[in-house]
Parts: sequence; C-alpha cells; structure tokens
Amino acid sequence: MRGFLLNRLSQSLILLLIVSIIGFVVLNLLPGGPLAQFGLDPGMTQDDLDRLKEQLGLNRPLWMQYLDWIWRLLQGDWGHSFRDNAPVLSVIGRHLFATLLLMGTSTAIAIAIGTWIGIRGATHRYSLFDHLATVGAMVALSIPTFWFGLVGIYIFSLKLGWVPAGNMYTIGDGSVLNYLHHLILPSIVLSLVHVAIWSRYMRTSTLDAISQDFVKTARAKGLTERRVIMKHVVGNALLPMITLAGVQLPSILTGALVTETVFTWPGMGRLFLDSLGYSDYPVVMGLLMFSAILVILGNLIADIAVAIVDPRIRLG
Amino acid sequence: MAASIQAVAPHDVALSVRDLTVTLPQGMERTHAVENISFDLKRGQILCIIGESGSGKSVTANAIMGLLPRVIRISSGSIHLDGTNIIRMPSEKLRSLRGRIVSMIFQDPLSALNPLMTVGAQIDEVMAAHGVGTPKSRRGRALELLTEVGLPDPELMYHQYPFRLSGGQRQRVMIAMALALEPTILIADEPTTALDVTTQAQILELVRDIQRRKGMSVMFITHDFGVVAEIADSVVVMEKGRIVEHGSAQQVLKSPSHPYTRRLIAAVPRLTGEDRVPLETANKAPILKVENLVKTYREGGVLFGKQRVVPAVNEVSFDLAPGRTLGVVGESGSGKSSLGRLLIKLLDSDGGGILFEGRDIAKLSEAEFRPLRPRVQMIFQDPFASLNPRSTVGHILTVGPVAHGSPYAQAREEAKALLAHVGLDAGAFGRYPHEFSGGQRQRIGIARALMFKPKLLIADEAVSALDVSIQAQILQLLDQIQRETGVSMIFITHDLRVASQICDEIAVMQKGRIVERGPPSQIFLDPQSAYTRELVAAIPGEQPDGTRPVAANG
Amino acid sequence: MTERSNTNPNYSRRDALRLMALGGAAGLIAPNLLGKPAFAQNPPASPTGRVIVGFSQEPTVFNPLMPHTECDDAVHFSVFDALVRMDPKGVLQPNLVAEVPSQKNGGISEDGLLWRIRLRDDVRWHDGQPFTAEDVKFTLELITNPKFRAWRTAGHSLVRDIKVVSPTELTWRMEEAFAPYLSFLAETFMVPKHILEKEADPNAAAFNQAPVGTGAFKWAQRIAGDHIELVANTDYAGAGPYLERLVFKYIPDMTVLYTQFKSGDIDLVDQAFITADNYAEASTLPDRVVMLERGASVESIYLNLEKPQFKDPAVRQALYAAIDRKAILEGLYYGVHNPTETFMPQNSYYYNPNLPAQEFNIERARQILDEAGWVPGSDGIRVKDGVRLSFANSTTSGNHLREQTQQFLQQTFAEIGVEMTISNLPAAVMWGDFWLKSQFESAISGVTNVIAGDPDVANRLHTKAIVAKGGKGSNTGQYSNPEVDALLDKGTRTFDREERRAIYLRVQEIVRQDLPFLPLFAYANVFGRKKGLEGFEANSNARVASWHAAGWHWKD
Repeated sequence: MRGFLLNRLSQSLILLLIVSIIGFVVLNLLPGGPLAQFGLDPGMTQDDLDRLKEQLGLNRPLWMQYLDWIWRLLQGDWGHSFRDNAPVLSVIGRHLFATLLLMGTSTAIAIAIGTWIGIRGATHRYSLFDHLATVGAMVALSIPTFWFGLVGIYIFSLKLGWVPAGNMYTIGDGSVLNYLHHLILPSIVLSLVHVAIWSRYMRTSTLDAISQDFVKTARAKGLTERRVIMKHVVGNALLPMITLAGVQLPSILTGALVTETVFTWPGMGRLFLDSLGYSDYPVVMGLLMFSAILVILGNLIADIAVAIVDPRIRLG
Repeated sequence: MAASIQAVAPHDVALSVRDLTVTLPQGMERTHAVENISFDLKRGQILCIIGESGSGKSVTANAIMGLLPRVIRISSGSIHLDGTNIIRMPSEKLRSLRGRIVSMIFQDPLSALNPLMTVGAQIDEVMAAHGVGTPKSRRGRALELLTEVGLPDPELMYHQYPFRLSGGQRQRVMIAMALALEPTILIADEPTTALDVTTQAQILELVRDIQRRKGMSVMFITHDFGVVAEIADSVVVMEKGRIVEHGSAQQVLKSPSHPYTRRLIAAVPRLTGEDRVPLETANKAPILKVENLVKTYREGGVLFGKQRVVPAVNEVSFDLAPGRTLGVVGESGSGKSSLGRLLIKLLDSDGGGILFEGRDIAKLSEAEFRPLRPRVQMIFQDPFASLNPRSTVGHILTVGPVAHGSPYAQAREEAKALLAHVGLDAGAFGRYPHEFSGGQRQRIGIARALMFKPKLLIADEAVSALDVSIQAQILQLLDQIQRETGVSMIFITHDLRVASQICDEIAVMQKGRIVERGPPSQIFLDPQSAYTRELVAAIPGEQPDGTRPVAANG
Repeated sequence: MTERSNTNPNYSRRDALRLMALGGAAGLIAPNLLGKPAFAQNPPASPTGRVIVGFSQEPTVFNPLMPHTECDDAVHFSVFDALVRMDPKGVLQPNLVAEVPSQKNGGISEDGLLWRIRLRDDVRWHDGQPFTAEDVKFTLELITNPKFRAWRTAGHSLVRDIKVVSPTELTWRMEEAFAPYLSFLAETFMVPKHILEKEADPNAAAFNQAPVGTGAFKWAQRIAGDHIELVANTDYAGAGPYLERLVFKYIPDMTVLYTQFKSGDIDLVDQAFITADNYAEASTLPDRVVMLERGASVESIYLNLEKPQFKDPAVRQALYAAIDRKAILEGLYYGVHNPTETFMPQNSYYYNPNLPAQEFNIERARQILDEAGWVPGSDGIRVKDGVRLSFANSTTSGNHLREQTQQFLQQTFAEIGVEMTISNLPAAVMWGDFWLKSQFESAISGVTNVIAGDPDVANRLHTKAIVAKGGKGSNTGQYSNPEVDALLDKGTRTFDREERRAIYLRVQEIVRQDLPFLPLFAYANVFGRKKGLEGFEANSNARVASWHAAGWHWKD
C-alpha cells in the first residue's frame, strides 16, 4: 500500500507539473491579458499600463514568471488575484461552499436516480421503461443545460412561481429552508445530464453483472429475485461505477459553469469564467491546479474505495 | 425406449422427465433445444447426461432448475421433482424448491461464486433464503458443511473471499452450498471440466462419496466418457437435443448400441501406452535445443512492499528433432504456457538459451528475430479470440505472408490450397470467422500457421476447447500435416490422454520444472516420478494398462 | 479613450460591459449634492428599507485607488467621497470640499499652477476618526507612490509640494496648468491615512477587502461571487442616506439580469443595464419604471487617415452621405440609440447641438465623388490617381449587430462605387496593436471620448496622441489638424467654464467638417427600477447608475 501511494504521489507530481506548465503557457499566449481592459479605460495612459505591468511582474520573460509562480506555490503561496486583490486560496475558498452545495446535491440526485434507472432498465431490458429511459437519456444529453435552466426558470419561476428564479438564497434570509428552496431547480437541472450518463453506465454494468455465473448460482440457491438483484447484481455492478464516480469528482467543482451562470449561483464554475474573462492568471492557474489535484484525488479515492469494497484488491 | 421407462414407480424416482420439449427462439440453428426427451433419475443414483456442445444437456439441467432464460420456453412435457410437476409452477413456489429440494453446481467455480461475499456468507445465504435456522445455527451448519466437503481449516475458510481459494476449493465451496439444505437432487453441470486432472479426480471422488453417504440423487452432466466411467450408475447420451441412448453405465460403455455413442467413445482420446512411429527425416540435428531456460515473474511494489517472486520456468532443458512432436503436460500454473510463449518470444527469458536451428534466439532483439518469426508459428487455444472477427479468412491467412514480402496472388493461391488441405472448402476464403464452428476455426488457425511454412509449430492447448469428436479430427489433421511437411511440434496440453495421441515424447512439468521426460510408453506405463504417477492415476476412466475400469470391474 | 471592445467575444455579458457610457437625465433638476435634493419627495426621517441593485459584472476592487472597472465605482461612490462630484448636468459640485476651487474664488491661481483646497470640517470616517487635510495629502501621494498599484495617474503625476495648512486646508503646485484635473478629482476617492499608513504593503492591505470611507454607506459584508451588502452611515455628513441597506447583486448573465428584474428579485438594473432588445417589453412591465438614458459613448466608423483612400475629404463626405443611419438604428438597434454628429456626449455641457445634420443621400454621395475626380473603373469601383476606392472594415468578430451593420454598409457603399470588404478579428487581437497602432484601414468602434465629464479630448484628436507616429495617446485614426491641436492645448490650460465651452464647440465644428470618423449613433442605456424607488437620477458623467445612492428612498 505504501509503495502504491508513493508511486501514485510521484506520478501525480509529474502530472501537476505538466498541467501547470501547459496551463501557464497557454494562458499567457492568449491575446489580451489582465491589463487589456484598462488599456481601453479613457483615463489610463500607456505609462500607467507599463507601470502596472512592471508592478505585477508581467514584463518579465514567461519562464521567469513561471519559475517564480511555481517556487511560491511550493512554499504554499498560491499568489494574489489580480481581480480581487485577495490571496488565490481565499478567493477559491469563498466560492467552494456554493459549488459543493449545488454539485453535492445534484450528484446525490444523479447517483440515486441514475442508479435506480440503470438497474431497472437492465432488469427489465427492452421494456417500455427501458426504452423511455434510453430516449430520455438521449434527450438529456443532447439538449444543452442552459436551455433546461432557462426553460425551468420560465415555467417554474416566472409562470408558476413555485421556485425562485435563481440565486442561492434570498438576501436577508439565510435559513436552511430558504437555501433548499433555491436549490431545487438548479440541482435538478444540473443532475439531468448526470442522471443520463450514470443510468447508461449503470445499465451496462448491471447487464454485465447479471450475466455472471454467480448470479445463476444465487438463483439456483433459491434466493428471491429481489435479493439476487440487490445483493449479487447491484454490488458487483457498482464496482466499476466507483471508478466512474472518482473520475467525475473534479467535475463536481468545475462542471457547473453554465448552470451557475444561469442560476446566479456564486460557485467555482462562475469564478473560473470570470477569472478567465479577466485574465486573472493567478486564480485561473489556482483553479487549474485545484482541479488537477481533484483529478488525482478522485482517482486515488476511487482506487481506495474499490479496494475497500472489492476484497480481491483489498486482500490480494 | 421412452415406453420402457414409463412404468417406473414414482417413489423410486427422484426426478422424472417426460416428453420434455424446449423451444428455442426463432433465428437459432435449431427450433428446439431439446425435443421429446424422457428419463428418470432413480433415488440414490448418479445419472450422467453426456453429450457434446449443443446436445441440449445444459438446457435440460436449467429446465429442471426453472432457470431457463425468458426467451427459451418449455413447450411440452413434464418434469416431476419428488413427484411434483414443476412445469408451470408459480415462480415463488419454484424458488422455494431451488436450493432445498434440488441444488446445482456449475462448470466454472471461479466465476460461480460472488467475489464480494465471503464463503461463509454465501453458504449462510442458502439457508437464510429458505428461512432455515438462526444466524448462529446457520453458522454452525456452514462450518459443518465446510468440514464435510474436505476444506482445511473451516473457521478460516468461513471468512475467506473466493479469490483466495483454488479452483478445487471453490468447487468444494459450491458443493457445500448445494448440500446446505440436504436436497434430494444435486445437479452437477460439468463440475470438473475446468479443473486440473488431479483436482478433478478429487472432486469426482467427493461427489461420489457424498452421494453415497447421503443417499442423494445426482444428475451429472459431462462431455467426458472418462468421467462417466468413473461415477455413473446410468447414462443418458444426448445428441442435438435428443436422447439417442439410455441405459446403465456398464451397458452404455461396454456395448453402446447407437452409432453416435460408439463414435463418441471411439473418439475419446485414451492413453495408448504405445509410442508413435517416428517420422524419418534426413536431418537428425535437433531443430530446437533449449538449455537451462529461466523465466521469473515478479509481482508487487517497485519501491516498497513485499515482492513476490514466482519462478514460471525454472532451468528447463530439452531438445526436439525435426519432424518430431514434444508434448508438454502439466496442471495450471506448471509453467507450460510460459514455456510456449518464451519459445516464440512473446515473453523475454531471464536466462538460458533457445537454440533454433543452431542459433540462440533467446538473446535476439525483436528486430533481429523478425526474419525468423515466420518459421516458428503458434496455434492458440481459443481460435475465435485469435482470429480478427472483422477480417475475412482470406485476409487473415494472407496478411502475414504479404507483410513478409510474398506477392498477394501467390499468397492467395497458397491460402486456398491450405484451406482445402485442412478440410475446408474454397468458399471459406471469403467468409468471416464467426461463420465457422469451433473445430473449423481451429482449422483456420492451423492453416494460418502453415501459411509461413514453419519449421516449428507450437500448439498451446490447441484442442482443449473442442468436443471430443472434433478433437480427434484436429489431432489427426496435425499428425497428417507433420507427416507431410516434416514440421516439428511442441504440443502443450493439460490433458495427458491427448498428449499420448500425438507426441513422440512427453515432458511433464510441475512448478516450472520438467520433472520427467520420456516416450508415452514410459510416462504412462512406467512413470518414474511420483508426480507423473499421480497425474496418470487421476485420469478419469483410465488405467495405465489401457483397460477401462468399468469394463474391468464389471 | 474608452473602447467598446472586450477580450472575450464569446461572453455576451462582457460584451455588454463595454457599454461604458452612462445615461444622463437631460433636463432633470441638478441636486445640491451634499444638500437636500431639491426634488426630494419627503424622504424618511431615518434610514429604512433596502435596495438590491443588479450588476452583470462583479465588483471586486474596493480600494478606489487601485485598478478597477466601472462596476466597482458603485461601491466607491457609496462608501467613499471625493473632493468634488460631477452632477448630471456636468457641473462640479462640492463633496468633501467646502467649495469647488476656481480661479474666481482663488482656489486656483491665475496661471492654473497653485491650488488651494478648503475642506468641510464635519466629516468623519466610518470608524469615527475625523477626516482631515492629512487624508487628502496621503491619498494624492499614495497614487503616485511607485510601490502602489495605482489606477489612473494622469493629472496626479503633475501634483507637487502638497502642504497641509490646517486640518481643513491644503495647497499644492501643478507642474503645468491642467484644467481637466478638477474633473479627475471627481473620480479620486479619499482613503483614510490612519488606517493605510500602518500597512507595509498597501496593495495587500486588509482595508482593500473591507473598506472604510466617509460615504453615505458603510461596508457590511461581501458574499464573493454573489453580492455586496452596505449599511447606512447614520453619521453621514451630507444629506441621506435614506436606505438602511444597499445591496449590489452580481448576476452574470444579461438575460438573467433582466429576468430577475422582471421577477422582482432586484430593484434596480445597473451596469450593463437592460439590453436594447428587451426595451419594448420592459416598458410594458407593471410596477416598473423603465427609462431610456443618453449615454456618453458614440459608435462610429473610424477611418485610418494615413491610408490613401481616406486622405481625400470628398471620400469621407461621400461615405458619410451614403450611410442610412435611420435604417441601421431602427432596423438593427431597436431604435433605442440616437443619431449624433459629434464625439461629445449629448448630455454634456460642452455638446454642440448646432452641427450640420447628416443626410442619407446616395445621389449626393455619387456627385461628391464625381466632382472630386473619382471615376468608376472597369469593375465599377472608383479610382483616382491610381488609388482604388476599396478598403477593409474591421471590428470584433462575433458582434452580430456590428456584423449586420457592416453588411448593410457594404451594399450601400457598393452603390456609389466603393468597395468595402469585411475583415473582423477576435476582440483581444482587434483592440490590441491592430487598433492602437493604427494597422486597420477602417473600423467600427464605440468610444467614450471624455473622462469624468471633462470635455478634454486631446488624447483622441491631438496630433501628439498618434501612437503610430511616436506619440502617446489613442488617436488611432491618425487625425491631425493644427487648428484643432492648438484649440485642444488651449482647452487644457483654460479653467473658465464658458471659455472652455467655446473652445470645444469650435473643435466639434472642425471635426464635423473634417470627418476623421463617421458617427453612427450615440448610445443610450435602458435603465430600469421598481416603481416607488425615488430620489434616483441618471448621470452620464458617471459610469454607473448607482452614483448617488445616498439620495434614494422608497415611497411612503
């Protein structure tokens, strides 16, 4: 286990290094830059821009900026946001809760419903339910999320008035109930795609498991069909899904770009768009590293979770 | 025949099948999986159902268990379990019979146990499903069962996960599970086919032993007349969904009445104990000389953690003369397959030499070996997996030679000639692998290997997946080819009987070493090592003197 | 000069942010900024209620001296005070000063070099400390501190020898006379010396995340990515505030911004306002007041005057005559914007309303070119002295309205024998060197020409402001007219309002005649607020609608 972790750690560091270099170079090669918007400010002179460029260290060669950045990063200093004048970690931290709340809820919905649909589709293959689920998944995957979001707001907020038209809570009312009320529409809209993906994978995985010999054994033992499915099929079908969940972990934080914008949700997805639009390099780099670390963590957690669940790996 | 068994008194009969017809969905090869079959399983007896693949024997077993897939339906007939007709029985009632009145064990114990549950939990589950006992009493019973099926340290075994167990141990767990509620009938669907020969002998003995002690009725499905000879009281022979012969084991084995039965028995490879007439070749210099070949697998962490060192091939030496066949036999894990892969350089060796036509190829790089590769060809166990399903047979055969520089037209003509040679018609050239049966695919595999006019053929379990009658044909084909082309062969198999059919010399491998080498007469009639003796003794239905036990005892 | 461009063409809300111009309620009564507004409809005795203002860009910079964009102004105007404020009519009003310095009252010397500032004596910081001349000195010196990442330094860099005479009086000397500086001071908010002087690095001060000012509202809290909450400063020296809470809510999508205005989640729409396409519908909403306010920004076709095609004034006149502005405005822009003949905002005191109006007349355009000797060639395109009357037009790719405008122009220009090709570029490329270093042939651009309401446009029209010729500034069209140069030089040295007005009226006249660029229209902004929110007025001299929240209150 220790060897495995060390091996993983060294791989991860190399991955992070590569991600950081590519990210840094690509970001800096994009036209514009953090001062571009001030270049169009009628009161800003070229002297002002040159001065700011120097003060921010943007006049140095790219490799020097990168080395400086990574050297500070190694010391735990993620840099300062250009846009926010605050440390990058604190900027990210401020947006973390909103995203975790939204993505956590929608992921929970997606996994619960997706798993159920997948299992039912597989155990009732080619039934009306299965066909509807297949068509539904295709619809959910082919229609952009923002469209669902806008239609949802139009119908359920503006026309029916059941749920708020976006925002995380009513300003001045921070009650849990108020949060939950605001959470309903965006989390459902966001989970649609994930339900679709998850149910498709779960269906395939369940079909795989159903065809295994031990399922036949379980039936031959006289188990009820319900127990055969719940105990023998689902358990084994969920194994590959753990890995999928691990791979999807990073998207929990960055996967809500559009939904957060449509629902005015102050999360990381929007932070990413705003920072990118502003060329706020330190924050964009911070988010990039953050999600790269999440990719690594997601895979690691998935591997560990699989090891915990699967005795062949845990004990083998 | 059906009329003669109508009259059996019900209480003598544990299982009675009458005029059973099972319909297959449209578009299959046959309209019926089984058609009008009738047989009885008498109490306290072992009934063997024997047949080749597609004979309908497994469908029969599944029909009795009520486990047929939804698309396959019983269209007529009856199945009486302990006097109760189970056909059209409500599914809940049928479920309550499974595991309690009738239990089943399967062919592949590796996949028949849930990998995520402990052995104990899986045994416990049978009893719990039928509402038997308390958790405590069930645990006691499970330990008892584990002891009964001869598993060491039942307490430990109870908490083990299946992957920790060997194939034989897993099959014992399956048997323990099947016995948990002392069912009237045990259905065993090829329970030993996937096991090594020595393990197979042990499991057969266990089944027979338990059957005798419990007075259970066993329906034993097999394709192996050796197994029939070992344990059967009576035999049902099936062919293409029909029962062609039915009678006592002695009767069927000794004086089979139906030509199909006779053909099957004749096709069973048996220990000849006679050496093959060696092929005369001009060149006596060994085509292959292997010296102290070593291959070691290392498992586990690179930096930390304990590393497991598994010697797969350990100081193996032998030589092979032109036109001769060397059999390499051994059980799983003996290193025989690794040896094959080393010889064709699919694996790199860790030490020793492989002299092919006097040149040491062990140390050659891939590039240096490439010109030699056409001269050493391999035939695989699973012909389907080794043939690209998207390519025509013609393409499969010609792509290699063309890549090595042959003009396509020439390769095509050679391919067509070879197809005819291996017993396929010329139309095969434009067809796809899935259009062929297992035996035909293996013929294609052989033709592909021969396209290169190899000096050495390595056949790795080349006939193991085939039915016995097909097996015999392929062995005959290989023998014929060797006599015509003078190719040398290394024939890797777990089946000593098969090896005895085709090999000039046999090397017995155990734990990476060759423990004995000699002509079949020596290996089977006068084995020198204890391990070889053990192996030979475990061959079902065979005695080294070439007589069959039932016949001899009867 | 402000350019209506952006660095991210795919991001529609940023597109909208380019609407840097602000509407101004022409003809509305000018409030006495720190006195009781003349029109106030009985504001409550103590601050009550709350207003939520929606922005499509997030305010993130709270130190008003650091580089920031327009939306941040809303926070600065509410939390801080400047020495003076520019009212909607373009007249400077006292804010922290006791009276606006002028040559008449002796605040500014005759040569414009010596400045004497008298401050109010009753102003306190939000933490209770008194506001004094030391704070002003500290603020002005911090701006030019090389270690400090200051925003604009134009004008400030000319200030020398700041002397604190008393807590309410200070003087300084200007390196040269620079009249626009007074206007610049309207956007220079005062920061507290007693807090910031303790900071080793003013760039990373805690103050920057929780500002302390003298303004009508105090900092309460910020939910990053969502909103900023301010509370009433009950000790405010001026009139107001009448609201207990002021919330600036960030709504990143323009459609959603409008939706939340409709649903009532926000009380007032600030930057980037209601989009023109929603104007008609918004006007019909019940319980909402929707106003069309003139902005400061002007959309024009810029001609690179160093290109041989554009050197001939006849060509520029002919092109101008061939533009069907009415069709463009009504057909593409929902009729919300206004035709204009000048670069000056229409609400400005310095706006020249007497310029000749453009007339769409294809015949006239042809005639001008015929008379000037531009003869159609074999392909129908006019030629003179070997110069083919063909040019490329560029703008931000992905800006659909401008792209449609281009196609429209292409057709009408073709009718007079002029070939215009379309060659658009991504925003970051378009408004980089390509624009700044005059590499384009012609371009469509929306520009705010004035800073803080001051009429000085030297940066845009002076010969010294041509970067391509080694100058400093944004005269990207390379316009050069010695008479205009002289007038602009005089304008920056002239402090008298009337004198300045005369100068800039004349500049507009000449420029209208020279046509260095062809004005298409002056932007208007669609303001929206809930009925019952009173005390609100638009000000095209400020960049945000929330420039004077101190005066807002709810009816009843």
